[in-house]
Formats: sequence, structure tokens, C-alpha cells
Amino acid sequence: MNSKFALARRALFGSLLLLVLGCGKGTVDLTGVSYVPKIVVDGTLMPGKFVNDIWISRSVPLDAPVDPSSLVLSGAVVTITDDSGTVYPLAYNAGTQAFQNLAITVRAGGTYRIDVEANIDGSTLRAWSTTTVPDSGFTLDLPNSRLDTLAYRQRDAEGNLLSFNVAFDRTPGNEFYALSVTALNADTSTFIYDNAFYDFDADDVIEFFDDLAYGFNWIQNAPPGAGESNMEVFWFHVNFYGSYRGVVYAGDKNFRDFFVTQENVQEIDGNFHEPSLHVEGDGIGVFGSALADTVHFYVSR
Amino acid sequence: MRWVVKAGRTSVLLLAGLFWPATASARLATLSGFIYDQSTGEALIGASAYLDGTTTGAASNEGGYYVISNIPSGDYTLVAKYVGFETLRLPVSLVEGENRDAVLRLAPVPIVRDTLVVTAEEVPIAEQLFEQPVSSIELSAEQIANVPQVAEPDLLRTLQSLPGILPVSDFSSELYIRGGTPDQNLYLIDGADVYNPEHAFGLFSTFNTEAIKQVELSKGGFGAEYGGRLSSIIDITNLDGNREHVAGTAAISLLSARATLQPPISSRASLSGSIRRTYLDQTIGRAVDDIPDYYFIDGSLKAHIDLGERNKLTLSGFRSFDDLDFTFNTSASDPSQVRYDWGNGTASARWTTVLTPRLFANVWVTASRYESNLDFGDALAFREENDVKDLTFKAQGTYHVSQQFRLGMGVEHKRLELSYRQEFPNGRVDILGRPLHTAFFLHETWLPSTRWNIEAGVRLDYFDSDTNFVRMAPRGSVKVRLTPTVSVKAAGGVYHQFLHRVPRPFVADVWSFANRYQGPSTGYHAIVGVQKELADHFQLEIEPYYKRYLDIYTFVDNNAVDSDPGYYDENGPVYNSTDEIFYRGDAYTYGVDLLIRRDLGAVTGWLGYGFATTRGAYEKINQERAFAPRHDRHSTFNVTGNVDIKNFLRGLRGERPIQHRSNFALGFTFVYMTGQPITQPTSGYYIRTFPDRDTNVPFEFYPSDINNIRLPHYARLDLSLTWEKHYNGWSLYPYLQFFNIGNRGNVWFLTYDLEGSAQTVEPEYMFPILPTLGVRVEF
Repeated sequence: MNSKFALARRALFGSLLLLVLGCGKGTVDLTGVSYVPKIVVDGTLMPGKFVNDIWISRSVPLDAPVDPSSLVLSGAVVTITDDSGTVYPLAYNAGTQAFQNLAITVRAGGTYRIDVEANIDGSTLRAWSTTTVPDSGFTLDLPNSRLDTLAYRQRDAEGNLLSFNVAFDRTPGNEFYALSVTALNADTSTFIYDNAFYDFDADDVIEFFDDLAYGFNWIQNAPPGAGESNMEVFWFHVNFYGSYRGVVYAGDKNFRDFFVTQENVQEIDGNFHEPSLHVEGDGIGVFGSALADTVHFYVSR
Repeated sequence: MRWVVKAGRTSVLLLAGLFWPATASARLATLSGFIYDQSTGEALIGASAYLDGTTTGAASNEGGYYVISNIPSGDYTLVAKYVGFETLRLPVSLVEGENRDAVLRLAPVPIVRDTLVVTAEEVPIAEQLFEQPVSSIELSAEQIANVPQVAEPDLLRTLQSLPGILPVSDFSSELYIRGGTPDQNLYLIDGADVYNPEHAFGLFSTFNTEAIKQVELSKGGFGAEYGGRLSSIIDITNLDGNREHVAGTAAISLLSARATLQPPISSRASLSGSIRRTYLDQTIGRAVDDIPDYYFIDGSLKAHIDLGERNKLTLSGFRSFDDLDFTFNTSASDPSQVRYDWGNGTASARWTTVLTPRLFANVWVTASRYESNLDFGDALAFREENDVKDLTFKAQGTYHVSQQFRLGMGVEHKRLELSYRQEFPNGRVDILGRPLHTAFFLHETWLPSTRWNIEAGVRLDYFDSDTNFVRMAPRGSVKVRLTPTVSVKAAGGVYHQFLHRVPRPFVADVWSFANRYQGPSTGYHAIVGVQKELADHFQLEIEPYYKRYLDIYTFVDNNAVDSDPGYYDENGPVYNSTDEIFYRGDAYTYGVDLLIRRDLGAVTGWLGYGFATTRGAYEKINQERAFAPRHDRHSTFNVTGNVDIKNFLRGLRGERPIQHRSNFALGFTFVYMTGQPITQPTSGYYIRTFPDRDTNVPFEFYPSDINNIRLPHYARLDLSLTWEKHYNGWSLYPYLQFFNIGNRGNVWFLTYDLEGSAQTVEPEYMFPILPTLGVRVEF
């Protein structure tokens, strides 16, 4: 009997030990995570536009404070080579904090390679990427678009939901098109509080402003031949009354892969995976090309 | 030419040798028949029947049928035993060549309240362990019910407390068995395949514990009668029904209500039905706007009919339905909605027949369907439909050539239809396949002595989709009794899988099949084990193992950019194949499982420890270098127990146990698991989403090496307290449970953000303390 009571005491002690082990909070040790610096290339070539908007910056480790102005690699050596082999050096513009060379003529169908060399934390890093500009042919078809004024989630006589949409003629051989939507009058007074998706107050609008004021849609693997396609503006991306700007892009493969994968790197269970980028060497980001055009529409109260 | 003649002559001799023992034993007698529970009429699986004073005996098979052959004529006492039942002793006199049909009906040990517990003559634990296949565990509905859970007893969550079986988070009841992934587990319910056995959010599996008769889990090394999966078999048999009196249960908790009913039809037929529904949508869902309206309902019905003494017909059906509706802003005048529903349905007809006293056969026709529908409505103009249909014919027979030799054979023919459709602006996915899967197997069991059990088998699979595959799978196992209490086992084999699954957390997965883009997967198992009966009803098992997987497939996270359409229609691209949506790879796992278990006494349960290492290498991932997958955990430790409190205290006082009219039961589960790997970013950077967005530029995070850090260890203690009150003819069991009673914050993943100039890393935790209460009635 004594042995049984001794066993029971041990069992009770063990139970208390399990209870203690089953308390507390897990803490994650990130000290083993090793930071590898990267050159961040952020530039899109467009026919008919100057090459004056190539951003070259660096990545920062997770435990470092982030000062955007200090991340720009103003001392980087940046060149663009066209398909004739002509090398164009880019110069840093302190006003725009971007690299430029106004002598470059971006030609539809042309191929361009960017090379970047920069010193980060005492090491010389190199990155490069090549883009092929889509051929010409992409044009908006405004008569077949709905880009005028609609009330928020306006319905037709049959009760069907109407939406803004952009019709366009495709560029033969180009299969990716994207629509970037920006609310031009976005603030807490113009937010649509009777919102189909968000039950937000003014403080929420401020906190989530970036997610509310910008939206996008895209088409990929569009039919390769000439023809017309159409992109809808989802009401999901319309959260303010007032004017909207939509920029339609016909993008190359680099543009496509960056756009489709770059923001979706964290899975629903919290795990991360690499995006599909086409910057080689010590670089990440995008060096793509696109044809672009702009539309406007209006959401009335 | 001479070798052909020699091979042919050898084959004839081998075939003759198979039947020689039968010929020679024609003068010997055979005892056979079914073993039943006298109180309900249910067939008893794994009951022992033997001739007293001899080593001649057999265990009843999955149909409750036993065969004892090669018995010299004479007078004997036939003894039948089963855990929880009184031993039956039946005198029999056998003459030369007699085939005696002996139906055995065992009476449960009588329960007379407030009197001493009458203990049945026990089947030695070592004997039970030796009869078990390698890496196999059997669980009863009662054992599942005694394990404290999140809301109510659940089969899959109970299995997660066994060594070698892991969950990936609190929000999933999927099983990762010895390094394998959930799609590598075959779930059978009364013989029919179940393709998605989890309800949403991982709280419940689709199996109603109240309807379960028995669960047999094989973690590896399973025989040739099973095929189509690489890792494990979870074979569930539902209750046949009670032929003697009306019986049933009803239970209600904070989350769900469930009931079973077993009305007797006649002495030759029984019926069993169950139903279960959650009502979060009617309770919390009405009070709180920001959570989805979700409910599920599932039910089963089973009829068991005797068509004479030697033929039985079982008709079984099961249906589950999940409905998840989310309204984005319930206070809006025109809110947008997402609708998602999915469900399983199975039906099976099984004919069990004793063709001759030595030849037992089962024939099934089963149908299974899994379907899911997702509609984002006007939010994104996106819809998805997934449909898996399975129509299977299978037949298995076992021939008892002699007391030492059994031969099994079977055929299976499966007609599948897998359909996956998506509709989205400017395109769609339309994948449809109707593969056929045919399999044959041969299996032998040889008992050269009472100390040895040698099994060998081979399975031949033919899978025909847009191309065809032929695969052969040899398998075998050996069991040896070293001493009366110690046995060693070994098993190994080749396994093939022809279906692949795209995993999707929280909700339903999507099935695909082997085709010209993704071939079949192959697994190799090698397992050894030691089993020992310890004192005081304890049993010990230690099993080292090694598993290798070839040609397994993982879903491509960036498949949106890699997939090409098959053709174009008036709306745009149509994706009609699985090309470019999976990456091929190979993997391996090695480890050791340790289990100490006790099924009898005032304190029952188990203690398990598992050590394992899993690595996989896939094309285009991690430069094709091997890495630890998300479910890799070096060590897991589980303690699960149920304490009959009054009898436990009596035991401490040296008093014998009694059957109390009221009592308390304390249940507990403790889980400790070392951290699982996760891929985390190592840096952040600014980048414009679009060239026109050069203000409020987003700050993004860039991942590092795959699964480069380990999350902290996971620990959790669950407790339950049940009060049992027994009346005349019925019993009441109110209970209180605490999931994660220590409220430990177990990290699920990390979220990253930029607040001002500071980067922040915040952990997201799994379930906190979750109390639940409910009551169960049994009659």
C-alpha cells in the first residue's frame, strides 16, 4: 500500500510538472537567421517614355531600423545595354532619387539588359536582368469600355451588378495585362462607410489606407493573337467616392512574374516561399517593360 | 527450352504442394463459425477461439469468422475469449473429416452496480500483441471517447496522440504519419474510400465516434490487400446494430449535437444510424458578425442482414456536408458574400460468405463521392468546383489450406472520375479525368510453429489514365515469439500511389491523378519491432523504421506563372491539365516509435515517444537540395490517460474495484513536440507594385533559405472531468473539458510589419484555453 501511495505521489508530481510545461508562451529565436544583402532593382521600361525612373536600393536586415532615404544606392554603377550592344550608363538624380539616361530610346519589341554594381556593407555586389519590350499593338477601346460614372455597386433594371471595365486591343504575342487602380480623392471623408466588404470607422481607414486606396486586376495567358480583351474593376477595390485613375499595362514576362508572385510570398499557414523574380546575381526586384495607357472613372454618392 | 520445362515442372509441384496439406488433412476435422456479442448480435473481431489444452486455435477475422483446422477426431473443449466478455467453454466431439459449424456467442461481463467488478478471463496481452500486424494499432470507440478533445471525441485528433503520428497545427486534424503527408493515408469506412475526412478548421473529422465499432490503424508495412497509398491505412468499421434491444446514445455540447440509434429489426437483421450537427451558426454566429456562418452535418446508416448461416449482407451509407458562408460586412446595405460548401458521401454493399468451412470471402461494391463548391460572388467573380467520384468493385477470399497455412487473394477494380473547374474573369480551368485502377493481390500466412508467423504477398496494380502504369508491390512480414512475453516483428514492402492531392489549409483539398505529367509515387518501408507484455496489464512496443518515397509531388506555389493553357475559347485561356502545377521530388524518413499502453484497470491510456527525421528534395526548390518539410519534428512525447477515480482511490487503499452507480472519470492528454521548421524572411525592401504607384511604396519581406528556422516547441495539456451516473437501463455522462488548460501560447507562425521605421515581428498563436461542456446519454 505504501508503494501505491508513493506511486500516486509521483504521479501527482508528474501531473503538476505537465501542467507547468503546458503553460507559458513560445518565443521564437531568430538569431540563427542570416541576412544576405541584396541589390533591389525597381524599374519598368516603356516605349515612348524617358528612362528616368530606375530605382536602385538595398534590402535591410529584419532587426535594422528602416530609413527609406538611406536605402537608395546612389553610388551604384548602373548601365543599360540595348539589343544593338550599345551600353548606356545611367546617372543618379538626387531630386528624384532614381537613375536615368534620357538618351535611351525604348523601342517596342526591343531587348534591354540592366547591369548594377554596388557596394553594400563593404562588399561589392552585382545584379543583372534582361527584358524584352512587348510589341506595339496594344490600344484601349474606349467605346467598348464602361468608364463613366457609376454609383457605388449600381445595379441595372434587372438587379444585376454593374461594374467599370476596360476593353483593349491586345498586342500580338503578349499574354499579360494588368490594371492598376488608384483612388485620387481618398481620405476619411470620402470613404464609402456603407461598404460591401469592410465595416470600418475613420481610424480603420487611416490604418489600412494603402490597402483601400489601391487595387489591381490582371489577365495572364491571354490569347496570343490579335483581338480584344476586357478587364473588370472589382468593387472590392473601390472604397472611396470620387475620381479614380486606372493604368492599363501590357507587360512582359518579368513584369508578369513579379506582379503575380511578389506579394504572395506568405502562405495562409504563415510559411514563406520565394517569389518568381528575374533579377540575377545578388539582386531581387523587377526590371520589366510594358506598354501603358491611362483611363479615368468616377464613383458618385 | 530445358529451363522452361524445369520451371513448368517446379510450378506444378508448388501448386500441388499448396493443396497437398489439404489432401492429406482430409481425414482431419475442421471447426469454424462466427463469434458474436450475445447482448447485441455484433460480430466480434479478433476474438480468440482455441481447443483447451492444445496450442490449436485461431482469431476471428474482420467478419468475426474463425477457422480451426487439422483437428484429429476426439473430444475437446472449445474455448472462446474476448476482452470484456465472459469466457465461453463448449464441449465438442469431432469425428474424422468432420466440418463442424460452431457459432459462438459471448456474454459481456455482467455489470452489477455497487458490487465487485467481475474480471473476465483475460486474453494474454502478449497473445494480443503477437496477433497484431506490424505497426498496427486498434482503437475502440470507448478509447477514443476517453481522450479529452477540443470540443468532443474525435478519431483523427485521438490518433494524433499516438507516436509517429503528427498534426501540423491545432487547426488541422490531418495526419502526418512517419514523415508521410495526409494524402498518403487511405481512409476506409465499411470498405469505401473517403477522400476528404476533415471538416473545416481541423476541429472535427468526418467520422462520428458514436457510430464507430472499431478502428484499425496501420502506420506502415501493411499487407498486399491494401493499395493505392504510400503511408498508412485507417480502416474504420461502423457499428452493425443491436439485434437484442433498442440501444443508442445522444450528446450535446457547446458546439454540436449528435445521436445514434440501434433499433433491432429481427434476430437476423440489425440497423444502426447516427447523425451529428454543429450549431455555431445558430449560437455564436448570430451574436458575432465577424466570423463566418459555418456548420456541418453528417450521418451514417448501416443495415446488417443474415442471409442464412453462411451469408451476410451489409449495406452502409455515410454523408457529410459542410457549409461555410461569409458575409463581408453584415451591416452594409448590399454586402458581398463568399459561399463554400463541400462534403463526402459513401455507400457500400458487402456480401460476406462462407463458401466452404475453409474458404471465407468478402465482396464489396462501393461508391464514394467528394465534392466542393466555392463561390466568391461579386467580390472577385471567381468560382470553383471539385468533384471526385469513385466506384469500386472488390473481392477478397481467404482459404485455410491448413492450420499452418492460409492463402488470400483478391481483386479490385476502381472507376474514378476527377473533375476540377474554376471560372474567373478571362479564363477558366477545366480538368477532367476518368482513370481506371485495377489491382490483384496474393497473400499467404504461414505459421510453421506457434512461435512463428510469416506473411508474404504481392500486389499488381494497373492504372489507366491518359497513359497507363503497371506496378508490382511485394510485401512481407515476420513475427517471432522469443519468450512467452516478448516477440519481435519485422515488415517491409513496396507501395504505390496513383492519386495526388493539392493541400489547402483550413478547407477542402483538391485531388489529382497520375498522368503523363505526374507519374505514380512509390514508397519503400522497412520496419522492425519488439513487443513485450509488462506487469500489471502494461504493454511495450518499440519500432524503429525507415521509409523512402520516390516521385512524390508538391504543389507549386507560383503555379500561376508557370501554367500554360491547353487551348483558348471565346472567353480566354482554358487550363485543362496538371502540367506545371506540381514539382517532383523524393524524400525519406527514419525514426523510432515507443509506446507503453494499458487498456485494463482503474488507470488506462498510453505513453508515447517518437523520434524521427524527414527530408525531401524537389526540383526547382532550394536548388534541389534536401530540406526538412514543415511537418518534421525531431521528437514528440504524448501521455494520454483516463482515470476511474473511485476505483483508483480504492486501489490505493488496497481494495478491489467495484462497479459504481456513480463515479468520476478524469481524462488527460499531454503533448510535447519539438519545434517545426518554417521559412521566414531575413530582410525587407521597398518596391513599387506598379510603376504608377510611387507614393506610399510598400515595404515587402524577402524569404531566406527554405525552412531555415525552427519554431519553439509545442506543449499542451488537456483535461476532462466526466461524471457517470447509471440508472436502470440508461446512463448519464455530463462532462467538462479544457483544451490547453495551461493556456500555453504555441506559436503557429510569425507576421512581419513595418511600423514607422521599425520592423516588427509578432507571433500568431494557436488555440488558447478552450473550455467546453456537454452531456451524453447512453441507453
